Amino acid sequence: MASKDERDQQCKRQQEGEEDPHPLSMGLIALDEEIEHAPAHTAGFLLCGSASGECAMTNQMPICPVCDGVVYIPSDAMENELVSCAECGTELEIMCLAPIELELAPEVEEDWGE
Amino acid sequence: MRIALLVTHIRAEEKLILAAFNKRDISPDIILDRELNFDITCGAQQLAPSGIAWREYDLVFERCVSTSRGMYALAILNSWGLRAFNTYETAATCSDKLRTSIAFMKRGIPQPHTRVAFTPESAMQAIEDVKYPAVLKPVTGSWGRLLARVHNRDSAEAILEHRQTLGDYNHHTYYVQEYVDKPGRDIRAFVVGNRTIAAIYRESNHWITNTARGGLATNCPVTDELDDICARAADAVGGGILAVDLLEDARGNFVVNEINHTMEFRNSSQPTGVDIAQEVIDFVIGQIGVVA
Ligand SMILES: Nc1ncnc2c1ncn2[C@@H]1O[C@H](COP(=O)(O)OP(=O)(O)OP(=O)(O)O)[C@@H](O)[C@H]1O
Ligand SMILES: [Mg+2]
Ligand SMILES: [Zn+2]
Repeated sequence: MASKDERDQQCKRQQEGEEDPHPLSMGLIALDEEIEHAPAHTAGFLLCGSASGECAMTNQMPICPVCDGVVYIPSDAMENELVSCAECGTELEIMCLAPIELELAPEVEEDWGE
Repeated sequence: MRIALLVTHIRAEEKLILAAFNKRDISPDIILDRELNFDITCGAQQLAPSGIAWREYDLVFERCVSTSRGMYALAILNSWGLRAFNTYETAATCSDKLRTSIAFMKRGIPQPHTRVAFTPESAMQAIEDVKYPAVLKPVTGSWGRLLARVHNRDSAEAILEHRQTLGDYNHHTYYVQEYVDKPGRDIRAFVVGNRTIAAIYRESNHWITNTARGGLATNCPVTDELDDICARAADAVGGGILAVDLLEDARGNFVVNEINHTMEFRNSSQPTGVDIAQEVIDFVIGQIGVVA
């Protein structure tokens, strides 16, 4: 796994690089509109790499590190946001947006909460 | 205006908070608690992980899900004279149920009958003093974890032995409460400054009604009586941006159960019709420039 510095560098490069646009700023967003039939809780989420295999960015599909399932990423996703894998329920953290990089979210610790 | 949002990671609440700041044309710097590395003696001129000196921030808004990280960060930042929400004093009191009970007692805030003991034997006596069913809680912790409702001596003995054997020293402070015979729900009220901006009932078939544990949130009208007890309870722990949890006892009177200083509210704006994030952020912004 890339060290944090390498990852940050990579994030910076990717975000600044003009010829390598953010996957969320291209074709994928359009899918948003196409999933109106999806249940309410997925509305606004990108269905990337669906069973139909129609994802425009096949090589950048966010894959769950636990079950290899494709993970829904909200269209307004942010770095360090938590998302969960719809297939196996694992909680994941978005470490980088371009390209999307997911890691297992840290385990809940005893002092976590409100 | 420069604001730092201190987080463990980004959850639904933090996104709502950022959106509320954006509505006021402010984009806070997000600072991850995992990247903090303070030099205690060097003060606020040292750089934050954002690359900006801490003293450049008009305000630090602490939203860490990690209670200890958030609390110690506040301790340091407050000690350097930085304005932060909530304050360290408030966070330290709210993160500890025993310290909260003491704060309530000092101000005469009604609360469940509570006893504290430090060994399994004296805790057993405390349980029998408050009578069955009794409630045992860790003094720190949240989301209803490791709470126990104890109906008889057999289960009390088992729980005490487990806590003494399997728990670390934190679990050897036995915080024992009477069970408040509430009507299948409790109340979560959101207090911002000295105002109760909204409240929800949390209904459940389970005696633990937290929404994190499946409790259903519906609107609870903020009456003058509710506003008054919540504002006084919030003030008793130092005030700020707080979620006050109350129980209604068998006679319909309010008792304050506890106060949370890093409140979750993602499920509460919809039933109450109150934009909680915006209320919080407008309060926070309004505090900048106010003499502490
Ligand atoms: N003495 C009591 N009598 C009846 N119900 C109680 C009592 N203490 C706690 N409860 C119920 O248990 C649940 C959790 O209690 P409490 O708020 O003390 O724990 P917590 O882990 O700090 O939860 P959170 O911080 O998420 O609100 C609440 O639904 C509350 O109504
Ligand atoms: Mg709590
Ligand atoms: Zn998975």
